[in-house]
Amino acid sequence: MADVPFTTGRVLVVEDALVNRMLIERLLREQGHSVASAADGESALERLGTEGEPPFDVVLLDLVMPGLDGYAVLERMKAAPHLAHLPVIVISAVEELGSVVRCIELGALDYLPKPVDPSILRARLNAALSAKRLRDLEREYLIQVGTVIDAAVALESDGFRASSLDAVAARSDALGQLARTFQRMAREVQAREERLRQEVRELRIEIDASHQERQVAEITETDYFQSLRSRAAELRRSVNDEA
Amino acid sequence: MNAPLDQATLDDVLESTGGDPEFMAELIDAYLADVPTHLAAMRRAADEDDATMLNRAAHTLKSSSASLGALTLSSMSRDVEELARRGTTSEGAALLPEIEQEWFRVEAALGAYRSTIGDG
Repeated sequence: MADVPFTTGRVLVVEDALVNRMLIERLLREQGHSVASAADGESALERLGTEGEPPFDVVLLDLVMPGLDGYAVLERMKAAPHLAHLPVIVISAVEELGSVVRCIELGALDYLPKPVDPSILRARLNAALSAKRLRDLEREYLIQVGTVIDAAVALESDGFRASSLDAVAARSDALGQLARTFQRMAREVQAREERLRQEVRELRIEIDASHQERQVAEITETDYFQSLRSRAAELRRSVNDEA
Repeated sequence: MNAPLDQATLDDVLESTGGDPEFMAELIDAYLADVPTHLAAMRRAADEDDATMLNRAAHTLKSSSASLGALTLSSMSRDVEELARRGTTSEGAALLPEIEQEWFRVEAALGAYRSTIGDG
């Protein structure tokens, strides 16, 4: 088994029996995982938190516990949107396989027979962590697809910032390529728009100047203006004569 | 009469936890301190005719004992657990003296094992 590549992660152990808890914690640490533990269901839910991404990648859950038992913890986790996706591996004695079926129906990913065998523990955790990693990647991908869509909407409403796509553009896959192409094309569009706006501003100035010239010409070409100009010239002459 | 401890289980536990005698001693000490509380809970559950408490205490004793190779004690505890699951305590309570006798054997054997693994 030592040659089988495996993934390490953050594991929450929920087990009321002290000896089993100590043993499982130690086995997990030996296998390179980071471990926290809870001795009952209430403490487990507290550790998982009430919102946001939980600080664990997988939960190892004993079923028979005082207070809130494993079934209740599992039901509450599956009912909580921030915990529903977290893989749960039920820890169960071989003679309790009926309980395991119930837990799988409630949303548990797998089960681990007690007493815990280190090789089986490693294999089950590896599978659960790989599934979690894949799911996290899919989730991140969908979020980043959403970022590209938001950028397209922002571009249409003149609210686009190219830096909003930096994280997606850093990807090495096709989505990253799409984001980089989108950024480049959006920058080109924005630059072209800016050039057009500048040309429009210059045209407006020319149009305004031309309009003013026409208005001046219209006024100066009227009979009234010509008559005023003649009278002004006469007045100037008479003033000069008197002087 | 079966041996109170399965040596192969203890060897596996020691090896899989890194061959650390200090941790092994801690684990045994935790078990030695923990079991009397479960036995007391089983006795109290029998006295109070509380099948749920009897079931739960027997369950914990069963799984803890199996982890450290006390397989006979684990098996006896499983019998009590299953009897209590049916909702009555009398049949399970009848097995308690045997369980307590087995516990004395396990306690002595584990104490002896602990002194051989190199941690004070």
